[in-house]
Amino acid sequence: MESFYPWPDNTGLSIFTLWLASVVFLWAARAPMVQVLRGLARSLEAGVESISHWCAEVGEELTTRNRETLRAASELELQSRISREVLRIDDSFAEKLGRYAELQRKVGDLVGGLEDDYKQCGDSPPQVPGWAGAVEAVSAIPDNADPNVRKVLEGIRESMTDAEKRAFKSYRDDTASRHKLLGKMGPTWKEIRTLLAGMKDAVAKAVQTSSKLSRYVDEYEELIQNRESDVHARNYSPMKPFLTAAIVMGVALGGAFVNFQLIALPMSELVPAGARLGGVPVSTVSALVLVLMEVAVGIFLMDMLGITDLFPKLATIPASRRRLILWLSMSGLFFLSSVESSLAILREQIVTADAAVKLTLAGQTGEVVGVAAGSSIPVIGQAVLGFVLPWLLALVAIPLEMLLDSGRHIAAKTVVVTLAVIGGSIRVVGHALCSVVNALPSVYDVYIAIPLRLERIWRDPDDDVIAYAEARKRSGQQAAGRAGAA
Amino acid sequence: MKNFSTILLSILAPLFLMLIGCSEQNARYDQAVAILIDVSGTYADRKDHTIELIKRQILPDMVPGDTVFVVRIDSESYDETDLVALMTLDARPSQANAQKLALALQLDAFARKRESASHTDIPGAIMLASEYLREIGAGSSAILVFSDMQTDLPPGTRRELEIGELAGTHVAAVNVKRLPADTSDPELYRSRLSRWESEMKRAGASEWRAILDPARLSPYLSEIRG
Repeated sequence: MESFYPWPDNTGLSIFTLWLASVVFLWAARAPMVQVLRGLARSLEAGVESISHWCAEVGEELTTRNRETLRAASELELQSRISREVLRIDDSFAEKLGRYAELQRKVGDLVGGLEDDYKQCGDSPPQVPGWAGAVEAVSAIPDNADPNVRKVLEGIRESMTDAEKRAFKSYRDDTASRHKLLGKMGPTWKEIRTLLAGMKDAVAKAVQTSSKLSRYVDEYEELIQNRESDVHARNYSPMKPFLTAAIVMGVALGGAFVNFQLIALPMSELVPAGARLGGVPVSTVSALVLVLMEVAVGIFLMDMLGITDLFPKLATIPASRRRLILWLSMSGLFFLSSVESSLAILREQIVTADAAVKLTLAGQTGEVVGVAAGSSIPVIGQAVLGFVLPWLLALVAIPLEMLLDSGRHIAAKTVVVTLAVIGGSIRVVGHALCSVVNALPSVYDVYIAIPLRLERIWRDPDDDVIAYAEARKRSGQQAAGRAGAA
Repeated sequence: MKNFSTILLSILAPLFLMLIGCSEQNARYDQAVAILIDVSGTYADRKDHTIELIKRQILPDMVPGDTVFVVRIDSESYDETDLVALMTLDARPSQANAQKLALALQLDAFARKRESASHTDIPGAIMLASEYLREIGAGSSAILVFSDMQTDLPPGTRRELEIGELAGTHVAAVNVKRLPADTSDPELYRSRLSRWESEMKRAGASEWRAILDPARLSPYLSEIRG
C-alpha cells in the first residue's frame, strides 16, 4: 500500500492527496459512472427476473406434465381395477350361471319324477264284478231242506266271500304301495326346496355382482367425463407406492447382500481367484453377477406371469412364446437357486477346511474343528437359504416397477419444488443486490459530496431546471421502451 | 416404462464397458513374500521358533495366487541351493490349502535340520530374493529378514546392492536378535538397524521396517498388499 503513496514518509499527506485526487477524478467521471451503475442495476434486475421467470416456467411446465402423467397413472390404475373387477365378476357369473343351469336341470328331473309318482299314486278302488248282485241275490234265497240247493248256495257264498277278500287284499296292497310312493316324495320335496334356495342365492349374487359392475361402469364413465379435470390426478398419490416400494427394495437389497455373501467365498473355487476386474476379484464380480442374474430372471418371470409390465414388448408376443419364456425363466431360476444352494454347502466346507488348515499350521489337530463343525444344521440352513433366496429375490420386480412408476412422479415433483426454491431464492437475492446496486449512485454522490456541493453553488439554477427536465424526459422514454419490450 | 429396456441397456452397456476397461490386464494384486532365515552364529538356535512364526503368522493369511519362498542365510547366501522352498498358491482355495500344508511340512523338515554357518551373508540372501521377486513380478513384494542383522562375510566375498535393485519391495527385519554387545550399548543395535535402513533405501526399497512383535506380521503384510 505504501508503494502508492506519493510521499511514503508522510502517510497522512499521502492519504489526503490520494483521497483528494480520487474525489476530483470521481466527480469529473460522475455522469458516466452513475450511468454505468444504473445500467448494472438494470442488467442485474433483468437477469434475476429472467432466471426466476425461467425457473417458474420450467416448474409450471413440469407441473403440467406431471399432472398429465398423474392423471394417466390414475386412469390406468382405475382401468386396471375395473378390468380386475370385471374379470372377477365374469368368473363369478360364469360360476353362478353354470350352477343355475345345473340346478334347473336337477329341479326339472325331480319334478318329472314327482309327476310320475303322483300318477302312480292315483286311488283306484277294486271293481266289484257285475254278477256280484245276482250272486248275492241267489245266495240270499232262504235255505230249504234240499241239501243240493244248500250245497250250491253255500258254494256261491264261499266263492263270494273269497272274491271280496281278494279284492280287499288287492286294495290294501295298492294303498300300501301308494303310501310308499308318497313317503318317498318327502325327501324329494326337501331337495327341491334346497335347490330352489340355491337358485335364489345364485340369482341374488348375480344381481349383486351386476350392481357392482354397474357401479364401476358409472365410475369409469365419470372418469371419461372428467378426463379434462385434474380430480383424479389429485386423488392419486404416488408417495404411498413410492415409500412402500422403497422400503421393500431396501429389504430386498439386504436379502441380495446376504445372498451375495453366501456365494462370494465359494465362487473363488469356480473362477480364478487371482484375477481381478477393476481391482475387484473376479470371484466377487461373478457372485454379484449371479445375484443380478437372479433378479433379471425374476423380472422376466414376473412379466410373463402378468404381474409386472417392465417389458411392454413382451406383452405383445403370442401366448405360446410367452409360455416358453415363462418356462425358461422358471427353469433358469430353479437352476440358479440349485447352483446357489450347492455353493452354500461348498462355502461351509471351505470355511471348515480353512479353519482346519489354520489350526494345523498353528500346531494343533483338526479334531477341534471337526467337533465344532459336527452339526449339520448350518449346512442345511445355508443350503435352504441358498435355494430360497433367489425365488424371493425374483419378487423384487414388483417393488421395482412400483418404484420406477412412482419415482418419476416424485422426481418431477422434487424438481418442481427445487426450481421453485431456486427461483424464489434468486429473486430474493436479486432484489437485495438490486437495492444495493441502486444505492451505489447515492453512495458515490456521498463520496464526492464536497465537489458536488461546490458545483451546485457555482452552477446557474436554470441549468438545474433544464437538466431536471431532460432527466425526466429521458427516464420517461426509458420507461416507455421497457413497457413496449414487456 | 415403455423405454425401460432401452434405459436398462444404456445403463448396463457403459457399465459393462467400464468394467472391461477397468480390468487392468497388467495390474496384479497378488503378493510375493521372501522369507530370509539366518542359520548362522547366534541366530541358528532360533530356527524352530522362526518356522513356527512363519506357519502361524504368514502362511494362514496368504491367499490364492500369492507366492512365498524361503531363503537360508548362511556363509554364501547368494546361491540357488539356499532356496529352501518356493511355492505359488493355486487359484482354487482348496488346492491352496493343501499347498500350505505341504509347505508347512517342508519347513518342518528344514527346521529339524541342524546346521550352523560360520559366516552371515545377509546381503547375498537379499540379492537372491530380489532376483526371484523381480521374476515373480507380484503386485506387492516383501522381504522378511529373520536375523540379528549382523553381516559377517567370509573373506574375499563382495556384496553390494545396486541402486534401485529393491524398487517396489518392502523390507522388514523381524524378531531381530540383540547381540551381547547390543545389551551393553543399545546404540550399536540402533545404529546397525539405521545402517540397514539407509542401505535398503539406497537400493530403492519402498519401505524399511523393524518388526519387534511377530504378531504384527500378518497386519503388516495385509497393509502392504494394498
